Amino acid sequence: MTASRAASSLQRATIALALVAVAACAQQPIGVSVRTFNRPIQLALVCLETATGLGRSMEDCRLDSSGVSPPGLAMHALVLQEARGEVAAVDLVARVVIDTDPAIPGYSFVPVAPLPVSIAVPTVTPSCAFVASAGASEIAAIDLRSFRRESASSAETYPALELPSAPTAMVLDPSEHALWVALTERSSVARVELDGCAFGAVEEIPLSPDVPPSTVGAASDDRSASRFCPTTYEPEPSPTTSPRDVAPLDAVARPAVLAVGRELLVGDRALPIVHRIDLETHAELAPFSVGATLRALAVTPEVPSGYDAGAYTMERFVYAIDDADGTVLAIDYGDPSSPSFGAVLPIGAGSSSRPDRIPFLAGARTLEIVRARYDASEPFAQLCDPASFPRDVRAPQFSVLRGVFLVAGLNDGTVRFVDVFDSDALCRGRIEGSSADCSNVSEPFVYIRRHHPRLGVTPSTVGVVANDVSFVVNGATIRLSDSSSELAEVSCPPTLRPIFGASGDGRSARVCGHTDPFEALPEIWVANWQGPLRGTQATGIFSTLADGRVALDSSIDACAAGVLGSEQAGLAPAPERDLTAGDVIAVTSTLTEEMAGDERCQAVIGIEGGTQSARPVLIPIARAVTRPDELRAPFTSRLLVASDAPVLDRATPGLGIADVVRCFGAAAVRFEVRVRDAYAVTGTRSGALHRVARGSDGTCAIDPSRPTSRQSRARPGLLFANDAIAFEIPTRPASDSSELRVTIGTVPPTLNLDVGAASSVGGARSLAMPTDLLFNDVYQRLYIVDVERRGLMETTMEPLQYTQTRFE
Amino acid sequence: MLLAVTEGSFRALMRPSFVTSRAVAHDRASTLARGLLGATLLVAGCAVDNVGAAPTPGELNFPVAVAVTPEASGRQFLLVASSNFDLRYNAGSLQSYDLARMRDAIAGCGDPPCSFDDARAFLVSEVWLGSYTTGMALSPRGDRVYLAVRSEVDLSWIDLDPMTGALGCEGTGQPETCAPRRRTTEVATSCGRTPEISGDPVGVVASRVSNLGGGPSELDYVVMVHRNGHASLFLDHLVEGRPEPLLVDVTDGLPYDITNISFEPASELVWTHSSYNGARLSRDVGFVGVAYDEATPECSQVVPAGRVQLRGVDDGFDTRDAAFSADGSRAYVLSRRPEAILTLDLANQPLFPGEASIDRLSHVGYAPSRIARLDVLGREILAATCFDDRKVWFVDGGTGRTSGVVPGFQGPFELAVDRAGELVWVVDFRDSVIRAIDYAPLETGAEPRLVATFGRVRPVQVLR
Repeated sequence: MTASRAASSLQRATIALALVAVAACAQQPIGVSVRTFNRPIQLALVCLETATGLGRSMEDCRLDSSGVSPPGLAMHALVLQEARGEVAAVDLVARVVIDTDPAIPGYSFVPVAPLPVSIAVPTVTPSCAFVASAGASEIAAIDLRSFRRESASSAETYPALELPSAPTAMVLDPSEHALWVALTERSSVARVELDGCAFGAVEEIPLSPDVPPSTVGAASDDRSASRFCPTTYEPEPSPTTSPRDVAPLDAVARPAVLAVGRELLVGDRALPIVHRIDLETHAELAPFSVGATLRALAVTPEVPSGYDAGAYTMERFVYAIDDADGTVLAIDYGDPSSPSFGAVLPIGAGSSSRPDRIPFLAGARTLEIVRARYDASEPFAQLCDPASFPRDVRAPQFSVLRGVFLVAGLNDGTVRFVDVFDSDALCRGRIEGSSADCSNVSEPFVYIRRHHPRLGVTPSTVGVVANDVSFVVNGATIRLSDSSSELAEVSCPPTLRPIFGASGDGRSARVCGHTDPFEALPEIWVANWQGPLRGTQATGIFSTLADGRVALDSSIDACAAGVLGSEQAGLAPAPERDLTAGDVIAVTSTLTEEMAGDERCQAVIGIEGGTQSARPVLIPIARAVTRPDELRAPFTSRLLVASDAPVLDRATPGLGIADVVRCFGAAAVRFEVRVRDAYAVTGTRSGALHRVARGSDGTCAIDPSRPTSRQSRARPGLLFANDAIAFEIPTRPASDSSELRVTIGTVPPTLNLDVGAASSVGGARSLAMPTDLLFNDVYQRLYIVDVERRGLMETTMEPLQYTQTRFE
Repeated sequence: MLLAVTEGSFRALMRPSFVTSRAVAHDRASTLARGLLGATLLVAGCAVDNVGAAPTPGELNFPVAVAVTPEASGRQFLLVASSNFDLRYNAGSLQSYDLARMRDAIAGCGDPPCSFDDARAFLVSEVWLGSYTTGMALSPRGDRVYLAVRSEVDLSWIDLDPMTGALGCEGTGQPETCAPRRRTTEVATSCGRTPEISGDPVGVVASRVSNLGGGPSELDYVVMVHRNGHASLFLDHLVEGRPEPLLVDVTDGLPYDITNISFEPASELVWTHSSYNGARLSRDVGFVGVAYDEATPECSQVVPAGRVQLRGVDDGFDTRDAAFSADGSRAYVLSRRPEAILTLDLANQPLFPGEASIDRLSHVGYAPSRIARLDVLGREILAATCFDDRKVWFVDGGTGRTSGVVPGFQGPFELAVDRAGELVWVVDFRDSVIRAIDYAPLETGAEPRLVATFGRVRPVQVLR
């Protein structure tokens, strides 16, 4: 037997090799692009003399009016290569990655200690680049001449500064005579004096672990820092938010990120605060308690509170990435005497569950502030005058960036922009010289709002319209008109506006939704008669309990999906008590071979009275429980059914749960949970909103503390309204196969750069993970580091677009 | 013996079984397949009766799986499965190495990394089994090794003496060639069903039935998952007082194009990881669970237990492995699209229902393949092998920061954590060797380092 097995293996082996050989002959060689970078993570810019490699002031590299670099000088990007522990140099004028030693095959970069984490280069009198490395707990000073082939041999070497623990972040002091270094493991920051390329005294400043109560800013009307066309457009107001109560993850500070504002700002990955260190005295100031541990910080320059040069105050903001989930928050960093100084500001867009966050649909990885043609000392100097547009820039539009903007690199491979102070705001939507506001037919609608993502198109409609409202009945689509009687006219709830079938009063419509592009999500809302709750499609097993009830155990999270049994529905407050009497199990499995011939079992699955096709077995749920103690792995939820529960919608009398258990036995059955006598309302992006939560005993019940606008069951004849949509279907449907579909398809997308699509050779898109952003004031360009494949990219601001070369 | 092509793999038509014979019905597809194979054989001009060359004892040949045995009477062993990927031999192998001697050799290495070309000096035992092992799991008892073997389309089960490291599989010869009954499994038919395995096995996990409510038993349950979205459940049953795996159930309904699985012990759920397939794009991570029937264990079932989508990343279509935090609150999913570790929040509801709650992305090297969790002074450190990068990356699970990048590999693939030795053992697929990384330097913030290679490097040019 063994021999025959061996022979069999050999036969298979031979066949496989033959097939491989045949396949190999037919294949074309695969082109593989050679990459010089290996996991680039951060960059710094420096102006160098191309002949000597000596550093020059950043200003010396400023381009002339024709965009030409001064002769003999070139801006260079120094890019940390994490995987190899090197620093690569890119000549941004010659547009080449520099191979510092052509005698060695492949590209040679400047080696540094393992795991470089940060690089800093003085901008005024640069002679060395400073690289902090976690692998050797040191800071190295690298003679800038090392980066150019012509001068590498004359570069000096300097002793590295050994640190007491691994550095996690490093920034240059504004004086450029010191470095600040975060020492996470020692709960401190260190200040390192610099004397040219030499390191001087090191001062370690321990950080306090005290966490004051977190604070949030008051809701405000930010119209003065906004601009909308048409002028009648009313954005939804910023909501009132509550402080987040985040428990410290450690008893001591864990500084992780640094930024320089008026003080040194230190983001902590264990404590939900921003430490502040006075740059002169090096004393620790009262922290900002922001209710979040942080992974990135960015500080704006001072910006006017609005676009009226006659009435404004100067404001300033810190943006940060919440380390818990990658969301982005805004912190008031303006007037220190203001009660909201250091508070997290309400933004109120996208998802009402996160009103204190900028509404990105993906987590953020890195932040930067763009200061395009902006001088904080003369904030209105570049403000566009509608009477006379500037001649040296592109016409104002969404893709022309002049002013102050937050830039965020996201997990989804894009770079997004957030409006802070748009110097073109007053000219947007206008015709030059026209006295009429919002008169530009090529940009009829403008939305600029501080702390909100910048829109990336010129939309053709105001806000959002339900551009496709239809009923699907038995597979046939019936498109509804503005006056279709299939939907009743309703008065829109205060947070929603007419989006379909609006009446003359401006408040009533057939469908209400968000008209604010920052609030709306492009998605399809489906109201499915007795439809399933999302997340409940699974496989489960019936069992009969000692008290006679029947349990269906499965791995769904019933409470998270919003399942309500009849017991809890009966106890529910309004509005749920009017919307549901409890959900039902819908078993969709077929009978086992053994039971297939059983006439009563056939009736259970709907084959009765001449009906030959099976139908779902609907069984009312008495109680839904998540993670009860008695449930064993791998199951997480138990749907309890009363011992006398009937099988619904069957002609055969007396069919009940006992029949179901007998017919399916202990076999795993496929099922879903459906709403009963109601439409299940689900958004393709938002999902099913609900107030169901797991109680202390695991029972799924209404949590009255949650907003009543979180609903997913629509009863005929009653107004349905949730966070995003409102309508009323006046009557029960004639057919069980009936659903209302509302397509929200005209939400303007936000301005973004797809990093994976950046290409100079017309190649296919590649995957991307932007990991560092740097705006250069001298070149007025944004630099993007993609750790995956794209390497280093460069974009212009007027308009926003990639330059023709990328460096990888 | 007749052959038929099914699901891209080769299957014996008449499969030995002690309970039932799992015959695959002849159909047009198999007839056509035999015709094609015959034609191919003619083209290849092979002597099909040739039994082929036996493996060289003690040699590693494309190792794909590695595990560290739990301590028994102070002894531990390193288990390494070779896939025989190039079909150079007529069998794959499973070898056990004396871990204490390997650690001693590393400790005596003055200038790491050291090479120990003759791995046989550390070899304790070896058995030969089918080619193309794709996964290995150790019984929680520590006395059995389960292997998913593609050439068998079945589970192979090898005895291990946890105190001596001796491997046994009722075979003949030295090293033993496993008996056929150890390369297949019996089938339970007493529950009114005749489960039949389908599809290339891609991974296997083993746990105790007692974790599923099976009483204070030391019997195992084993789940093997197949590339085509199927899963098979095996339960120990006692034969003359000794546990033997019995195929009791199969299911479908999992995501397609599964390349690997991982096991989350807190929930006893098997996670499936699917690769990028241009024809079938899926962002789904699927779950498989076992519904254990205490009264009639043979009626236990393996069931699809849901799936979540990976959205908000670029682009979530290819994951390869996962590790889990000690408290079960986070999953670290190793992704190839993007090449990163995705930290998933398992404790809180996601913003969008049905989507994984992705808290963080931590980049790793090119073509990440496998991941394991280390615990270093209370910190969770993740070790990820990156096949095309030829390195092993270490990432701090708490901060997402890179803790180390260890070069010196040609094709790092599966890895196992040796906590007592503070080593990570990595099988190098391209060089057919075992390599060891010392991770103790992580305690002081320094990078782990490659300290040893065991076995003679046999590079394969075609894979370079």
